[in-house]
Amino acid sequence: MVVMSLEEAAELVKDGSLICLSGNLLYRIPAAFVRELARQEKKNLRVMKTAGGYDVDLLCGLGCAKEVIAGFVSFEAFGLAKNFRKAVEEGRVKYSENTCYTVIAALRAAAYGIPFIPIADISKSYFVKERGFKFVENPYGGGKVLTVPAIKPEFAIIHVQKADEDGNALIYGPWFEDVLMARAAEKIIITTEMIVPKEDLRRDIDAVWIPSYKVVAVVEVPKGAYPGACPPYYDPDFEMMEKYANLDEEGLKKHIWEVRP
Amino acid sequence: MSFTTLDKANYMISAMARLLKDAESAFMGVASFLPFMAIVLAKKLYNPDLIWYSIVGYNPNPKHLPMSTVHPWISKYCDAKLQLAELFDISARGELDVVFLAGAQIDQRGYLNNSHVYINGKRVQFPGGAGGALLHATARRPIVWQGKHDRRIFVKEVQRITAAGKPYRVVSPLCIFKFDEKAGKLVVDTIHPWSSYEEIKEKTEFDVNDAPTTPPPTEEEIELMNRIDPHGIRKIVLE
Repeated sequence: MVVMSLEEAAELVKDGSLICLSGNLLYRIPAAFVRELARQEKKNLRVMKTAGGYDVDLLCGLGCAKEVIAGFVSFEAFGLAKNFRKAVEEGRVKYSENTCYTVIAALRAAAYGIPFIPIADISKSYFVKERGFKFVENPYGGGKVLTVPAIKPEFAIIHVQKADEDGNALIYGPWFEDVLMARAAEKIIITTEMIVPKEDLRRDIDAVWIPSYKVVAVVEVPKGAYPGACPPYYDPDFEMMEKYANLDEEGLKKHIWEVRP
Repeated sequence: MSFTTLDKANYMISAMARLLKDAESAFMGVASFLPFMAIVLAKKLYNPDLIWYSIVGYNPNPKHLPMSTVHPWISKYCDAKLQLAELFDISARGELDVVFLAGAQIDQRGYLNNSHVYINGKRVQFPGGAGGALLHATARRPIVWQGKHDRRIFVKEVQRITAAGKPYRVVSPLCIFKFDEKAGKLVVDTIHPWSSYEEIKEKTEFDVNDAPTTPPPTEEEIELMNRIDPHGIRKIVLE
């Protein structure tokens, strides 16, 4: 049993950690956990995700992140992620830009236990050189093939609908990269809308794709993805997102204490 | 004749929908109101067999345009599960026909910059190209779209290449470009009725040509667009 409080779970993440966040844009993001990281004033985090929004922006805006490894950071209809943008423009955060596909490739290599992985040729994209992605000779013939090195996050932080007290976890709806990051990471922190008895989870076994063996914390956080969505329980709070998109640093500092957990 | 912002959005959506008449499959990414509506239109009016790969699942059947084009409820109306990573694999295998891509900067080769630019030495950060780098390079027919048209966007050469590929068409609020194989660059295919060769020339950094007028949306298309998006969310893209 690894059930603990949000505060205790966030304390497991040390300054400088490489963390990978669940969900996509406004969808099943570990928002409550990210707010707790900010309340604990974490520093120098390296944050990984294919397509980030609120979560990545908040960590950049409050000085918790030093690097973002991602393919996209924005708020969709609510405009640009202002705090992320400003932090990158001012050089406080390094944006290790990727395309979502290469973030996935890096996680796949880590998940497969191999040092690098061949990918389709996207070598005209500027970030290929900046990230140091290299061609190797295909040992089976047919010329050169582009590769991406493995990135193994220290923590996959995944918000789910249901988990048991050991951290076996179920996802309803799209997984995005969550099942993959659970395989790739050293350790997993699960935040969940509800902790349920094992027999309840077993009834839904077809949706339980995160086994507990690497889970180091399970935290029950109802509305843990807020202001993002966690279907089928709640939709995104578009009004709050609109308000959030216009907050400055002072506003952000208030926001993480006002929106609880 | 004067055209409202909504009329202009309707022209762009209708043009994109017609480009899907003979398409086998289509994918659109995040923040893509116009492609979302174009795909719904194409499936309803022209090409019921069009396969729609979405971020949240395979072949969604949405009834209206959501505020987020990856809105959770879309996944409830899909024919099958499809994880995002698999969509990229579909394109990498050469199995994706049309992909809709946006560009903060678009150059005459059809390359896109969604990374950043330097203006007077100062960095201006964009969100990043999401899946674009792979999709532009590997989908059969990338359709590029942009809600604005000026010389900072339509440039000779992008400052950073986020995504390289050969667009099938580029749909702007002034015109539609197609890729000319012989010249190896974009040429104007049609001009929207509220614009002109002169205006496009003034607002595009690379050389452009005169072209015929873009055909208007049909009554049927407009009626369907109004039904899917009664509040006119699609206007946001052009504002």
